[in-house]
Amino acid sequence: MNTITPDPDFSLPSRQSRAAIVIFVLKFVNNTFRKGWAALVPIFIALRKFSLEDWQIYLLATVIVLIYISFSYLSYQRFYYYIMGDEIIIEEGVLYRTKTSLPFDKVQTINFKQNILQQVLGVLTLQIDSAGSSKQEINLEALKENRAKQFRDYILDRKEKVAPSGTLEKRIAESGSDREEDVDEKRKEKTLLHLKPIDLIKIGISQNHLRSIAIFGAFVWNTYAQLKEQLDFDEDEKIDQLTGIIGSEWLGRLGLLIAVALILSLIVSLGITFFRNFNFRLTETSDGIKKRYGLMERHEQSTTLRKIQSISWGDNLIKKIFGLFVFRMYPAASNELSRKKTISVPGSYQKHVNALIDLIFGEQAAVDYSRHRMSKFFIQRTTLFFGLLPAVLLAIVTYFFWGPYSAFFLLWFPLALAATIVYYKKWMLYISEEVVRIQYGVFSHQNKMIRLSKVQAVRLSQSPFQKRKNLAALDLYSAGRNFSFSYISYELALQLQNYILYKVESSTDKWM
Amino acid sequence: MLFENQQIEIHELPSTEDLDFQKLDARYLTIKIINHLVFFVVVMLAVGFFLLLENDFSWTPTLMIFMSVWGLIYVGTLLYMRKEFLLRGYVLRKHDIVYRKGWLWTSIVVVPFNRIQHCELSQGPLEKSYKLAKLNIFTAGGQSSDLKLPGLKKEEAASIKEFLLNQINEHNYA
Repeated sequence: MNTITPDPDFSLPSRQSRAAIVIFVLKFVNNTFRKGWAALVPIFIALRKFSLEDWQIYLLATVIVLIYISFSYLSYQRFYYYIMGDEIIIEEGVLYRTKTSLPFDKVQTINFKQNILQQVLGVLTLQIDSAGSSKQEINLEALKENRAKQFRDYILDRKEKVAPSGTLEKRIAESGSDREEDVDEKRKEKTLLHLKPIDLIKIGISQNHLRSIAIFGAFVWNTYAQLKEQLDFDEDEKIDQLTGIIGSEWLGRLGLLIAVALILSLIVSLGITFFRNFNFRLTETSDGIKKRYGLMERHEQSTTLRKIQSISWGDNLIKKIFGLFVFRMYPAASNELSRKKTISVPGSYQKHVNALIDLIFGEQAAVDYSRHRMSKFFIQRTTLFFGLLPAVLLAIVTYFFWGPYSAFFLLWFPLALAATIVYYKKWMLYISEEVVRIQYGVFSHQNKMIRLSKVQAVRLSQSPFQKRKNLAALDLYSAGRNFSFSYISYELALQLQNYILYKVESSTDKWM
Repeated sequence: MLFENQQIEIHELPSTEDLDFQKLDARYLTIKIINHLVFFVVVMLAVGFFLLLENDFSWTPTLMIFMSVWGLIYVGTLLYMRKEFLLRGYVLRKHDIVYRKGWLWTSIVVVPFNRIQHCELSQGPLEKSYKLAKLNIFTAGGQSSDLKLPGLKKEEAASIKEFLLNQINEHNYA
């Protein structure tokens, strides 16, 4: 051991780094602009009306700045974090004091985040997420980097002691050797996946562009609506003129509009992908998986392998050409928060998918599958209820308005039939000794996989139709994501239910 | 023997089929029906009151037809509810709890003891007067996998809860 770092005492209430003042100022300014920027416009108009002297404006500005700074200073001054007993405690608030406490055994994940300002100031955000019905979350926005790491290690250490895991000896051995080595040395990381710029371009191109257009359009519309409300623009007339022009030659313009929108969305998607996932790296740590990414804002997200309940991977039409998959891991979480905790890899190739499956489920777990299809009655039922019935109903209803043109709705039926047949052909249930995997999709190939011993509850259900045809549906509930297999034979459903229960009930591993 | 690795015969695994289900207390059905009727009567009264207030009785025939159709559907629902309720049942096995539901649409939910997070009893005012209780069993699988066992006798519910809590503790500190 070269340097002796004094064991930091976290039991005493301590403040964050002084950099917090700067970060708080920016946060407050940001909040004001985000929530109330529209309100600033009338203020400026009012200022014009009162025709203040220059010095008065400067005075006003100074007062505002002073308010921001003093408020931020007080926020910093009155923000404490410490550990009492088996709980992490945060006390904060200038006027209204709040005290948040989070027991160690409720701690789910601890993540780091760092934006550009935090990088300059040498601090980072420590995010502590909790699971269960208590929807708590702790954010420390300005911790010095090594202090944050110490704090994290301290919490993880204490957490282990509060809730000893199945591999207790291993943990003790690990934490014993930890102290001898450097903090960063001990977590030997192995890169699982690193996205190079060329990968990012592929990912950007294969994004869902319709969604990009929608996000972009919503943003533009929202901005316009807010401006209009504030300044009372009389734009309606102009827009009417505009739509009038479009209306007159709309076919030609529509083509142009779609082309422009596509190019625009491609650029937006590329840009967003690049900024968000720049230098994306997925690494294997001593106890789990860590993800780091971001250009303007550096993010870090990690989880332990044991916490991962299920995974999914899938492509789309363009991603298929590149051989790319979006890969997701679902750690244990209460349902409301599960989206945020999902560890999502925007682009991975088949070899990465295989390596991750081996890592998460073990190399032997995902082999020797038996394969099972849905019953053909799925096609019959689905096309009836989602194809034929809606097509005929829509055609009948619209007949009164559009006459013979409503027959176009009947085209929906063959489309639905084709999609259903493709879905039926792609759908496949794979069962091995340890895992269940399901493959599905119409235009894409989607996969979901879960270890049987991670299942929380099993539900077998039958509708009158399914009963007649000796079919059943099986639902597997997990803390990560739920699995549902419909239209499988009743025998298969029953056997699978019994087998899963056997696996769960005979398993001695902790599920998280 | 140090290590045993017997072949598992899927057909020999304990099955959830043909279990001897424990019925729920039929008095809970009365509570359910009372609750539904209260709602029905309240809606009826509100409509009547509204008509009186407006002093407009030209709508009365239409409303009468509407109400009687609704009433018929209501009776049908109540009959279905009765049939469905009498078929409900639960079984406590060595390692899990099984709950069967439904008449035309049936389902069997199984929650293993080593996956139960916690359980609690709840009692509505009517249930209190009948000395019935509802047992809620929570797992980490989200709301859809939580098991709600209504219509248990108070003591029965309490003893099942006690039993489950013991099981949870055993699994957590094994």
